[in-house]
Amino acid sequence: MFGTRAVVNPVSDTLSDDLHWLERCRQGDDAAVTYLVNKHRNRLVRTAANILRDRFEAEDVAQDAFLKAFRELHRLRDDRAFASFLYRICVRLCMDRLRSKRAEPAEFDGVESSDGPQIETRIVVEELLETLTPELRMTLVLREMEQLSYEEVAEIMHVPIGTVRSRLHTARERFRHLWLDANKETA
Amino acid sequence: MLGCRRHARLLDKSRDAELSTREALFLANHESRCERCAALAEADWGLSVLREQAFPEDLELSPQFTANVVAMVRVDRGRERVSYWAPAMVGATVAAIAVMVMLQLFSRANAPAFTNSPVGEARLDRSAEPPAFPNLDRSSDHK
Ligand SMILES: [Zn+2]
Repeated sequence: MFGTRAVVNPVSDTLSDDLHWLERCRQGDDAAVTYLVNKHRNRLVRTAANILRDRFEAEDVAQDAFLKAFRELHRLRDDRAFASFLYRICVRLCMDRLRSKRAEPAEFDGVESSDGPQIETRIVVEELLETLTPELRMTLVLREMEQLSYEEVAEIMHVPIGTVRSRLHTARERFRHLWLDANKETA
Repeated sequence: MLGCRRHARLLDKSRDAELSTREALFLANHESRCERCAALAEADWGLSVLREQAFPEDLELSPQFTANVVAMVRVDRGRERVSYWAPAMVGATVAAIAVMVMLQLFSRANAPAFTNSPVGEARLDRSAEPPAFPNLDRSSDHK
């Protein structure tokens, strides 16, 4: 039904100039850090926002992900994999946030009728996502919203591709059931 | 009902790839007979809504985003440098203290013993004659 978007592919989208800037980054060059942040920030924040459904929290997480990536640059064996290294860190941080949020009681203030149907739909989607486990939610978001391939989801989540398949199947099925229930309630 | 599992599998497949005519026909056929699967197929729309709810690619970020990261990285590097040199600094300080203590001990070992009482004793001998002093009075020479 849809393929992966070549332009936004974070795993294979590694430009050769990353290598040059990473080398400069290791030498403590602030300009190199600025370049790499500017290059990857939009995509990283968008991914975190889709997972967390909060753009401000997503910015926090993305900043932490950059910091961690630059701190752990010595662990990166192949500089061409910097993008996927960065995304893995970001996704892991998002997962930690989702897990800690799950421990807290859910907060829902309801929807003002003046907010319109679009906002209502957005809130329903967010509520449904919240009922999924962090692993299922992450898989669903990376595949459906980020439109990553199964291989990319597997690499980012550091799980075998078979696990991605089964998680995605479960997540989709559960989401469909939840969607039906939610629409029955509002009908 | 027979075929529900196949329906679920194909419904899933339809989100990732184009179905063959045979597969599409099976879905339509099964949905006409199975109310539950028909409802689920309709709920597939929810997943399309989910995709539409993705944040835009040109999501506006706070203008300080990059500057914040650069500042955080700079502070982190400073901390790292301190923690890198800290063991060496501690080692050098300990070594310096050890050398000073040893020098102190060495100089003490070679110094003469120090007490508050003198080793010799001074005594006044009253039995002896007082020494004769020469007369330096010049007036006696003129006489
Ligand atoms: Zn069925």
